[in-house]
Amino acid sequence: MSNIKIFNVYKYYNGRAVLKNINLDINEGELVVLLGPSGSGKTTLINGIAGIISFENGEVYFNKDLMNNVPIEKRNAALVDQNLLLFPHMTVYSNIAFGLKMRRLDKQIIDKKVKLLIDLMELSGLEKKYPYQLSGGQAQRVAIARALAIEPKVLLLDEPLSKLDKNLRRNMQEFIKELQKKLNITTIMVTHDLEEAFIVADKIALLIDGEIKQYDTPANIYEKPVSKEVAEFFGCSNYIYGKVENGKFISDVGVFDVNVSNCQYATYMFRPEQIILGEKQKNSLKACIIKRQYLGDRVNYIIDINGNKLVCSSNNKNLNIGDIVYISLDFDKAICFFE
Amino acid sequence: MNKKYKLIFPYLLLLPVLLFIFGIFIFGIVNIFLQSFGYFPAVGLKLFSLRYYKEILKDPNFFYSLKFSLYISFISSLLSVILGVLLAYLFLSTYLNDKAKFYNIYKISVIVPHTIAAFLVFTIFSQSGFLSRIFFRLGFINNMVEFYPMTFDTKGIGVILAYVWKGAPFITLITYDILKKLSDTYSKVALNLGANNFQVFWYILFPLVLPTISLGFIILFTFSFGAYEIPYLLGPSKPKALPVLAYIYYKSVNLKDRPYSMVINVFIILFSLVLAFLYILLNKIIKKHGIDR
Repeated sequence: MSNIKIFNVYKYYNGRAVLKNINLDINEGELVVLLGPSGSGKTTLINGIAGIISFENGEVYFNKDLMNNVPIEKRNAALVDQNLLLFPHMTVYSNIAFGLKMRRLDKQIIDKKVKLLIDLMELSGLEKKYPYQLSGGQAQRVAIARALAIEPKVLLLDEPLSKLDKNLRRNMQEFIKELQKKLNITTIMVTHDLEEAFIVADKIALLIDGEIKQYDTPANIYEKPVSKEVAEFFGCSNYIYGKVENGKFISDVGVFDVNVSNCQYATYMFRPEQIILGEKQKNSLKACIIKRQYLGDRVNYIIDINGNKLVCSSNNKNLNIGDIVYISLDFDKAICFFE
Repeated sequence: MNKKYKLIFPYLLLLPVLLFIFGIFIFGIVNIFLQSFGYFPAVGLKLFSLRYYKEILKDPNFFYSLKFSLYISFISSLLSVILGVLLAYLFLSTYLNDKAKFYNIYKISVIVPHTIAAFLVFTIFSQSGFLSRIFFRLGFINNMVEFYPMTFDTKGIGVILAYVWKGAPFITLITYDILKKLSDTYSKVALNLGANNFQVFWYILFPLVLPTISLGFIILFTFSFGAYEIPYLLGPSKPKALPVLAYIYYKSVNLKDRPYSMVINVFIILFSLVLAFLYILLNKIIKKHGIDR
């Protein structure tokens, strides 16, 4: 296990920077998720950490060891690819034992380690099966076991669950999280699935256009985004534009008491679930429902307040288009961006 | 278009081609079997008999020829496979394909006819050939007859050379893309798990490409076992390759020798069927393990 430090990393393809000024500090035993849309550079970054590709600029350290010139086979950074790539001509046992065999370890030691991993990964009875005989979840666990067998300094998971169905995916997310905590292995996982990132991550590094836009805990990155770009990546957000004067936020929606200093251009962001629908109260605002989106466990209502459209999420499924409702906005929980 | 017609329509479209292919094929096979059992009414042979089979199986020349054919087919196919795979691996490891397209030149020998290959081998490796002359000019030999006989020789060197010249690039052609695909995927995984380059080749690339190599080997072996041009042009007068022996019986002025030729052909067909069965078996293995050819 290692802590991992990445300094000032750049990667170019055909003159275009696909990674720009990447800096990450990952503590030993942490599970960090690289989150971002397709083409944001997540896989490039993880491949660079594994040593499959090299970076044009920057440094990668495992503990205090500089990895830049360490070849892939000597890095001990085990990568589980999204395609899993289990060796098709080998059984489950041989796949897991592969890395140990390549290190020319004693057969008994290999056997002991492989059996331990088979138990740990709940693969008993599948030792003699070939990859084509395994289900998606089993193949997934074999790929992870194969990576863990070499006792890597860091475990790299490149969208390992992307090809599983929803239920299996949920089970595997929990399985990975528990396993990672049990083994206390430093892990970097790539995903573009927000929910998956929140479930498994200790920290999330949000990559957009090759840049880390925010690196923080899941709660902070969702509740305290550093920019509109980050906020928008995590789903539908409502923005109320205005100015702050003498502790009052003045906007088209209304005038509200806030706890910030004067600012000519201020934007308050509310998540849909932060806009509370309810009865008429002292500070509530009158609005009209103009659109309704049924989402199963809840309904998204698009409401109009003084010509401003806001989206709010509610468990109350009985409201319809045209209904007049009252909303409450808690400015203490809202995110304020100053421009 | 009604449902019934819709069902048979594709087969109707295929019928002319199927008639042409299977018509000739089945007619030929049936004719070979009939004649091998002594039924050849055109020359007055109208009785079915095992006589020709018995005589061929008693003839030591048949077994010499069988042995020689197996020998040249096996050695040439084996050498082609080894050289072909090495060439493919060389292309892969040096990434010539990314830097220059000239490496495609190796494909030329795949499309050159076998008779031309025989001519090239004769021109270069015969005792009066190019190589012999160079050796003579350089003073390595005093007379061109001293040059080691590589054509018309009992070891079949010329025949093997011609087959290897044709076969090795064929193997390169069918293995290169697979090796490249495997290299981009499984090789990286193996390296990531700590394997060195030799281990990657030995434990990953070679076993994964082995079914394809085996297919290539079977194709080359079957072809060289059944083809007569190169052994006819470059092979020794004794022992003759099996197809050459069949050809000589076939061209005999005594048409009553024709059944002997057909018996030999039947043995070549049976042998080819065994190899075809192996081919199918290997194909199944490849599909089972999900390795695309």
